[in-house]
Amino acid sequence: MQDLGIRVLFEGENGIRLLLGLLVTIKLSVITIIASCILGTIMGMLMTLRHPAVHFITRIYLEFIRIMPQLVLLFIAYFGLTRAAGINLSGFTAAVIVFILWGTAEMGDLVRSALISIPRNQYESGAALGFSKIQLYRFIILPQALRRLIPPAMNLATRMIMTTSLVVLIGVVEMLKVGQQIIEANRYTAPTAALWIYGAIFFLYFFSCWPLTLAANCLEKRWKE
Amino acid sequence: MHLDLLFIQKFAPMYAKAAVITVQLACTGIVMAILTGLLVSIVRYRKIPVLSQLFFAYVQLFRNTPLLVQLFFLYFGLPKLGIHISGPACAIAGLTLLGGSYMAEAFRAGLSSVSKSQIEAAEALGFSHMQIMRYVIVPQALAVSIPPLCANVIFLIKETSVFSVVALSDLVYVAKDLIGLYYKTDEALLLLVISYLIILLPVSLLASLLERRIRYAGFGNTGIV
Amino acid sequence: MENKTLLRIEHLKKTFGDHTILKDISMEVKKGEVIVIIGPSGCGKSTFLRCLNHLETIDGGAVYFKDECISGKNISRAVICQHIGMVFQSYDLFNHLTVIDNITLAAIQVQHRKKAEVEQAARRLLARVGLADKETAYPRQLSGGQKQRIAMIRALILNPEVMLFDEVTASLDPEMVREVLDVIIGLTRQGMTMLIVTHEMSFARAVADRIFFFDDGQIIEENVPERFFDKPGTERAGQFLNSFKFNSVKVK
Repeated sequence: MQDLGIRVLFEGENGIRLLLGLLVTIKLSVITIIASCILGTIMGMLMTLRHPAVHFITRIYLEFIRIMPQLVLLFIAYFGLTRAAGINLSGFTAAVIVFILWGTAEMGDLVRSALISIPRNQYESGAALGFSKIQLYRFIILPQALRRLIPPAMNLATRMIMTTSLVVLIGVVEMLKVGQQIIEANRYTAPTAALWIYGAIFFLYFFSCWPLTLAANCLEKRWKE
Repeated sequence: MHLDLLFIQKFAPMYAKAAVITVQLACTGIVMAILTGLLVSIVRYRKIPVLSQLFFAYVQLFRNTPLLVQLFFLYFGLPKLGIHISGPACAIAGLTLLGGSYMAEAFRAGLSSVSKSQIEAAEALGFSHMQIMRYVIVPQALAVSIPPLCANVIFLIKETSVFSVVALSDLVYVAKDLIGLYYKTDEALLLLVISYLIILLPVSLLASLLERRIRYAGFGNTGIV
Repeated sequence: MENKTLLRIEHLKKTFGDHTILKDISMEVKKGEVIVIIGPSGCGKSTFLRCLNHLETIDGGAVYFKDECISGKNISRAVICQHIGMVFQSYDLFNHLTVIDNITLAAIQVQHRKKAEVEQAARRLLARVGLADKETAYPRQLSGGQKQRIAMIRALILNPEVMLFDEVTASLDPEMVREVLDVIIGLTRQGMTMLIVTHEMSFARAVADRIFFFDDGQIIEENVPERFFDKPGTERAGQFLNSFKFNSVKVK
């Protein structure tokens, strides 16, 4: 029975379809991670401004986005926006919006804490050496801030990849959905397919995220003062 | 937006019931995750052979895969091996496994923050291994571990939002049900958001309070000042 | 009584991998004696102290305390550390405990002494080093010199018969060195047996009964302080001492 199950993975186009499902996951992750990095950097810089209104708005935004389960945000975007604004969003678009909003909030907070973690005497000693403002950031502040930012940002990226699995619940056809379809289609010929398909998906996720985690750990260790 | 208040009044108790289920499962899962994390981090800290490597593999596997996929595997995959686990048990097992790997990392960060020279100084005073653990390492490690531990608790509560896939009538399940049955999307989503805020806001406030207390009462001159 | 040997080290050897740190060290320390060990960094002097109280395992030879071998693997560190106290360069006070708790914890937990009695003793010692008002402070609120004096009390309260001092002033600001060394000078007056690793040459000359010069994992010279500093018996010791002198440097 069980050898029948594992054959499902290699039968016909099943394996290819699963990998194409992974591609959807990766596409969604890459788009939203890149956008979050750019927008998050802007937001993080805004947050260090100490402007009361900016501070208030960014804080509310950050807290709300962070406290809501991502699935609830997806529901709001997918079901709520569709009705409220009369726009018909595809599941994928709704997911892109939600993950960018979430990623920007988390990234913004990381950028903010990286920027404020640079001690003031670094700015002062740079200025004392006659660097211009741009040189100061280019040669002294940014290299240090990036070292503090990159490992946690990579960890955020892995979390975003893992969280994209939720989009199956708003009807996006990605790896899990494809897996369900394959299991359905082979219900009678391979009754144990669920074990193998879900096992395969488990490891496909693992091998998508693990290298990032390892790299983040490695960089963190190397850059530790 | 026009809200149907009667609808809200009528279905609020359903949400309350679902919230109770969510909270019960979350509490059980989190307590077990903390215990798992403690066990794993102590075994890894003491470098107990074999077990230590096994636990390392466990942490890596479950930190780098989504809870949703873990639940699909436990709930739909394992029965094909003859292992049948009920929905609630699956939910708790998933939360424990996922949370355990996160908690282990939080405790590891705390343990590794206690410098080697602190341990040597204790050795030179004649403390036994157990005494060093109890009086020197654990109190200092806890102070470092508590902020990530709180973050993990909030993260895990948020993760419970996927429990509907293992046939549990949690908050998301109720919301989706009502949207499907009555098309009262706005009301259903509003109740969903409010329910999660009621659960998560107090936890989040408590966490930041605790974190602040640790930061200001911080006794150490390293790490947590 | 005064001439009784308290500590005897025979052919001590210590290796790290294929690197030999201590080659063949033998030494006898009499009760009440103050031994100062000096030498260039990396000569093994700190490792030597750490071998005496089991912070390092030794790879050859033996250590005897009152004619009893204490270097065996089956000897409990807890027992040795009650006889042989140690103070480190980096103080290593427990960051999460107040000064008084830092001092009393080992006495209460390891020696199972009464809390009240230990606290009383701690207060007496604190007063003696001029830190009576710091009882409830946390380590991070103290200066380096204050931390080091408390680290000394923390070791002394266990009533050790030998004290090991491993470069206790090396990470202090110059103006704090004196307050720490004064505590050691006070101990010499009480007849405490001590092994001191230090770079403070005038202090070494003042307190030492005997000086041991270490280099390359060996004892190169053993001498009384006056002779060692004025007319060292070996060329290597002479060279080492010269590196501390500035009288040959001419300004302009």
